Amino acid sequence: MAELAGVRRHPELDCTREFSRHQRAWFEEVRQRALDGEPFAVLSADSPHEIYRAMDIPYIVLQWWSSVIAAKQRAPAYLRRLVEAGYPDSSEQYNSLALGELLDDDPCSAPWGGLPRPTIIQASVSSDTMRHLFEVWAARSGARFLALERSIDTRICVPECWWEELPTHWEEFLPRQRLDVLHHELIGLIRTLESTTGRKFRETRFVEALHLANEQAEHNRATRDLIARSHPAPASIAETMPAVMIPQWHRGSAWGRDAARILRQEVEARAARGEAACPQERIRLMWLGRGLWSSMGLYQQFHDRYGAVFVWSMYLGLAADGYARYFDGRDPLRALAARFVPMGDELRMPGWSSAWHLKEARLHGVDGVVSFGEDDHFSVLKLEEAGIPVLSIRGENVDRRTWSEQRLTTAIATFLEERVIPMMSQRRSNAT
Amino acid sequence: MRASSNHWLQPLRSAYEEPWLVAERLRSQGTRVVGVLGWSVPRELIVAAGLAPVRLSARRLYNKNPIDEIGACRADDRLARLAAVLSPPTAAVLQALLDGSLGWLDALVIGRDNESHTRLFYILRELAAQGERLLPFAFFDLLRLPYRTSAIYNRRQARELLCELQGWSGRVADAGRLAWADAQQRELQSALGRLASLRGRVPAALSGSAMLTVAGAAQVLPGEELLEMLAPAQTHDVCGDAGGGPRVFVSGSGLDDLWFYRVLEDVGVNVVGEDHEWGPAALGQPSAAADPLDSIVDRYHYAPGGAARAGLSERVALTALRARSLHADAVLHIAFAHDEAPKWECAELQALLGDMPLLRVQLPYWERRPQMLLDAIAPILEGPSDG
Repeated sequence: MAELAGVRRHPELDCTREFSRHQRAWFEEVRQRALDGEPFAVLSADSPHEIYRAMDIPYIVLQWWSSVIAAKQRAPAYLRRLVEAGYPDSSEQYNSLALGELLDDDPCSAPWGGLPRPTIIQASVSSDTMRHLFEVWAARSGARFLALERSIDTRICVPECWWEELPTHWEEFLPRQRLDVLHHELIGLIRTLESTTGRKFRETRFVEALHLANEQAEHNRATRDLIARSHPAPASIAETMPAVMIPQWHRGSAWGRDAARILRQEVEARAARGEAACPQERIRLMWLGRGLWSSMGLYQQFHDRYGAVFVWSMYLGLAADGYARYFDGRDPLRALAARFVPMGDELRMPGWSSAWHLKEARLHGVDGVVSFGEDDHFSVLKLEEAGIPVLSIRGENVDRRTWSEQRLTTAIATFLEERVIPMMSQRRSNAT
Repeated sequence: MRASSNHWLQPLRSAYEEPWLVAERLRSQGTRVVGVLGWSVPRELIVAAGLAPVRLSARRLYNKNPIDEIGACRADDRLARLAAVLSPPTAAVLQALLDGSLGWLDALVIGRDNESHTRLFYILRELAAQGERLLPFAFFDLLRLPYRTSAIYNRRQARELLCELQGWSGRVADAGRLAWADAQQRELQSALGRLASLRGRVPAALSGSAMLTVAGAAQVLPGEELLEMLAPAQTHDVCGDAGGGPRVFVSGSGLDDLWFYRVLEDVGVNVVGEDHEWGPAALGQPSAAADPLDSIVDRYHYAPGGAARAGLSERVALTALRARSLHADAVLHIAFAHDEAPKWECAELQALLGDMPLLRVQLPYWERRPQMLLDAIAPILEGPSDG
């Protein structure tokens, strides 16, 4: 059965092409190291990558690999393999594609020659099924599953402005027991990795990785701010999503920091020259939810007809606001715990996510929001109350059975015509 | 339906089916009642604080037809949007909280059985921040990885919850009260264990639905009352309402309704055990520690509990072991459509069961479809039973 083809994006930035080339070469190098018998880890996005970097344990990020699988249109086949083996294909699709690939057992059809068998897999147990999924994957791949807890903020009153407080005041801002549990787990994780891989944890290298990650976040923040204040936007999310996320998965390396700087410089240069994703930009849109990695060009489909540009996604937004943790004089490992304790809360804990979405929408001068596959009730409330219309669509980004380009394009076009454009006209007439 | 002649079971069934009557009686006697959502909230803490815990089932929130209520819920746009991110049973609890149907409770503690419960807590917290009038509520974040780091966190969570509960009751839960509540829980678990062994006999001396009734009533009634009610069943072997048909071990989603077992029993099937969180073994074996808080917290931390957020290999190994030791003819795996975690267990469970059949059925939470259950167990009804 032929797989569905996605809509390819039109390039806007030179650096993205360079980053993609680097990523392919880097993956080949990691793959070779794994095939040569080095320990090799597959980490969930909410795992402490910086520890693996400090120990020189090669790793890749599961969600990035899932996005590659989706982009190569292999997701439907891998989901089918899950079902054939007796597992559900209706949950955790973003995290289960690599298991589907393992079950498929066909490196020739796998993206980039396929994922090498990991020796370590790691994730926080952040959903009802993550532990089950990773245990199955570990048993079938021979990898060791290193689980981390995912605690919940149980306070009845939770302060909202996490993006202002977390970078520096994380110790005071986060509940102590949440920080403690992950901090202590990370101490245990390092010991486990030392004893099982024979690799040494280099404190100097670790601290350097944290500093580099903070510098990377600073570049991302500058890029985000520049796109937010530039009208027309120098780049759309079709470009910034890969341009931010490829370096993000190299967080803590000089290459990751430098790539973020290069992205910033290119966006700055484009803004200075007046170059834009859509020179006729009239409408600025926000994409809430995971990216449509298999159809990135869909985000650019509304440039010509509507002058509508997706200027915001959580990828650059979170890279700007969610990662920096400064630790002058404090325990760097605890600072790392402070990066991961709230990871996910920023995006999906209603008090935090809705406040942040509104802040980001205002910062970017957004005219409308498309929310895809999100628990978005409170964000919708806040945005709509602020006069920003929201289109909510149910779906799962890597599961094409839940969406199609045609349906999405029609829904977004209708939203623009029936809600966004009339509200903009109303605002203009009120202003005059 | 097979009629039970066990008089001792009648008041337990009443408590199971109409928990609001128990709550109203307790409140009329001056005891404040705390609704408990989930198996993972330590009831002992609530008891130690001088409050009465009553576990909530979405099917028994009030004396109305819950399916009608859910229909009404969908008609309300705000509720429909909020409920869209919740499982059907959790959505029903939200509906009941917002429409005032849980007026028979004084407060609510939500346990982290699954992430739908977490989302419910987030929703309530946001609604409260927006000025919605709600019951006092709290969340108990039980971490489940079997590590000391998680155990320490769980103790801190328990102490925080205890502070909240003491605020609700105005009473101090000192070490003595904690020890008393802990001892009572152990006694209850032992009593449930003795009944479960009656059910596990060959032939079974107690029906699955009777066992589920007792286990459910134990989540509603005060401990001392329950122990008194169970005394006749403990001292006399008078529980013979089970038949001699095929023996089935039930696995999968938490079954919070006697209907499932009764459908099976009506065609002669004996439910001899289960691994879901409404069964008598959800908390595992009773054990004591020098510090009652250790005993209480570890009981829940290391409990078999439910499938969601659990470890797969340990759970399926325990299920297979129990199914064999109970001489089950088959394992019947019932998963609600919304409940993803149990569905991950089937392949590994089947591998461990070997020749023992694993019969699978997926059901919608609200709709009662007896034929789907009957179709699932048809293979063991058609063939001879070894039991």
